[in-house]
Amino acid sequence: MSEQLQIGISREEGDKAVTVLRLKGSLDANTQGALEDKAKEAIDAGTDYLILDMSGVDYLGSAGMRAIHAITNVLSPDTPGMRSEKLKVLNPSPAALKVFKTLGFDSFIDIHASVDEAIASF
Amino acid sequence: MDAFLETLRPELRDAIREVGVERTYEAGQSVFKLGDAGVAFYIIKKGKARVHADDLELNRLGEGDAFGEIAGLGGMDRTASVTAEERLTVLRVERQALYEAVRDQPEALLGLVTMLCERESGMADRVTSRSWQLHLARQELEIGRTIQSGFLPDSMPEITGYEIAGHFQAARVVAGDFYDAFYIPAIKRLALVIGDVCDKGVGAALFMTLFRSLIRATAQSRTFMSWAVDAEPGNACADGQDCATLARETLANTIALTNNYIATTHGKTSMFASVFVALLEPESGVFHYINAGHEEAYIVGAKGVPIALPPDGPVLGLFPGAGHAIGQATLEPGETLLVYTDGVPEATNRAGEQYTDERLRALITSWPGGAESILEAIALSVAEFSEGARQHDDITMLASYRKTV
Repeated sequence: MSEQLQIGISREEGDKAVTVLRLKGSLDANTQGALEDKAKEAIDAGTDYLILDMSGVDYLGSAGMRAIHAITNVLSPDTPGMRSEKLKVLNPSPAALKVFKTLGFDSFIDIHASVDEAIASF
Repeated sequence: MDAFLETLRPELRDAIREVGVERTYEAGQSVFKLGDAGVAFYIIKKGKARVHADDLELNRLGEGDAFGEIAGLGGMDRTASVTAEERLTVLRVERQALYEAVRDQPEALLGLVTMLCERESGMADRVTSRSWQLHLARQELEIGRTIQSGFLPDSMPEITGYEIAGHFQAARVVAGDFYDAFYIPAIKRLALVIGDVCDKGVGAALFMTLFRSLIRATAQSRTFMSWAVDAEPGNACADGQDCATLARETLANTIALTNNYIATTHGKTSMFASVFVALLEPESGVFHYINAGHEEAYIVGAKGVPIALPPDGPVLGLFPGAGHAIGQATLEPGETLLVYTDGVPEATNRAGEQYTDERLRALITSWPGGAESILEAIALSVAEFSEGARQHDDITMLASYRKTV
């Protein structure tokens, strides 16, 4: 189990201000703050939509899910806890998908197989 | 620079001025590092410095402050690092040079001894004060732990034909897990509850008390409210109403109220809990349940693999209006309903491997029965697996065994 989380950031070309955060490693109590910080930086820099690429997440803890919920609240402050329109998840690893489904987050945050598909959903 | 020097005897002050050499450090530059050999002490003429041990800041220093004198004059290793916060000009006083200068001056030597005693005494005061603060913080946490333990049931309900047992093992002083078991006379149901609040520590503990209270209060609302209008504990089923329907209603209301209350009142904190609640009719063993984002519950029998009751709806506290499916199952004589938190399958050993659901299922397959005994067996198996490795998460379990007649 990796103790670290690497976060790669890329801004997508196109009409909409979309940023992809590529996560690699462990998203847990130790690293949730780093993800929230990077997401807030991107939002402050003008991004309206976020895609979390979770293909490289080898451990997803409840603290990580808490961070994802907090980010959806920042993106959509007027509709807290409602279906996430501005944050989508890309290709979660089997470990991450299991946690997503067990905790029932998949009913509120769409999971996509490609960046284009995720962008088209915004 | 005078602030410190003013406190010294004139003879020592002169000696320091004589042997001190001015040095400048740029912002971020290290003056000395923890573990370095001490050969000098320093007096700040201009600028600011941080005293720290790696990332932990211990003190901040400014103009006129002296530092490094204990290790510097005693020739010991540095007990902390000092780094310039901004451009820093200091007077560096080397031990050997100072000792040479004061060697034949009793007044200056006396001044040096006095200075070291005063500095040492000041440091001792600071250490005492920190220890005291730490002691107070620990005491507060201990009070929190005692109060939180009151949010777990004092004892298990006595239900004819059943044996009920709980197990709770916190990873820290306070915990985010909870379990509960209580009888609801108004609908003739035994409530069995387990919950796991996300994250750990004090934040999780505060929310644990909230989740547990909302669930307990809502599930018993018929009983509690009936006390306001008549003296007898209300028994809704006695009025000819269908108890099963009331039980389903109570279950749905309990989950909906808890979820919607926390999601709308505390949604900004993003705190949530996975929860399993079952309302069991003791005579028939029939129970209704909701698994809100929690680990699979198991019906464990004497023969064969356990029956899993998987989650069917999201965790509570985040999504207002979220729907949860109500399941129905029967606990036959000889069977045990086992619920637990992820601290069981995710317990790790020294190699970092997890206990896993597979090990748990293998252990409880064809379990002969008994609530206390199954929890003891699981706790023992997890402890043996962990080999004394640090417990990362709370380990909580609840078992309800229906006795064979």
